Amino acid sequence: MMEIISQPWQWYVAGPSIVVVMFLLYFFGKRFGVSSNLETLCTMGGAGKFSDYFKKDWKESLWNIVFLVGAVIGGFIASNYMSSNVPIDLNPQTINDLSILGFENAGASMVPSELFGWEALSSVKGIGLLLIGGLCIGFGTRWAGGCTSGHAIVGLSNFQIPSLIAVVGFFIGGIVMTWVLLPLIF
Amino acid sequence: MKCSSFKPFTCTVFKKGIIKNFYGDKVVVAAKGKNWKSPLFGGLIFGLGWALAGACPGPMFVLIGNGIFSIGIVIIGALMGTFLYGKFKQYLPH
Repeated sequence: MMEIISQPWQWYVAGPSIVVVMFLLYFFGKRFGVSSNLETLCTMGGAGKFSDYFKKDWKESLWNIVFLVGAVIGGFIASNYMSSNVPIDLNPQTINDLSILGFENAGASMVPSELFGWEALSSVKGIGLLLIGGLCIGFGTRWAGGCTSGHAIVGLSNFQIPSLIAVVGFFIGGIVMTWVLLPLIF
Repeated sequence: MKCSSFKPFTCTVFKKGIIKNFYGDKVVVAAKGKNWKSPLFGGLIFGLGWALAGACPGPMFVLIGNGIFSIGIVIIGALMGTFLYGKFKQYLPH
């Protein structure tokens, strides 16, 4: 049994299990959206002093922070007790394209060491890239009113037009970064 | 939300109350409004960061559990980005 669980999950297992998570949240009167936690964390950190946008009762969103804590624990359990060392099943063309950009062994680990390893973290460029990436994620998801969970999973399955626009935007941004900006950066 | 020609799961099962929630109430999946500028422009910016940092807000936190602590810098960046949005929201198109 553990052997089956420890292998990479097929899309038809992983996808529906995300929907089970979503269903459970709605079943217990909550909603599914991770990026609103960024707002709550800012409020908890005292951002309300600087902008009315953050003047909210963070206790009402505490359940969502608990969800985040669960995600961290889940990540810990999955990587420590339920993982095999099978490389991520990337398209050979993708691995080849990434190696041309300077990313070796793409798929061998969860994240590329060229961006997340100690060597990258010891340079201003390395830290700057992660910080700018995060900045875009935070700013963009709040402006868009949701991220992959709130727009792509919930919004799309609820046939919301703004969610479709947002997801199209996600992928245009992703394509521009991957094909235009990343080759310039690396 | 109108339940007319297209019928998503949320219409047929939730809105008609076929499946009620734990407390016996109808399940409400909030509508996303009618704006198109904010999802488009915000989505574009998120997409850029998504591809650069290689994570969306959920997996950012899962990666901490995976022991990849440098993702913490991305999370700090995301909190800074959220703060900047909150600060300058009134000047942005929505």
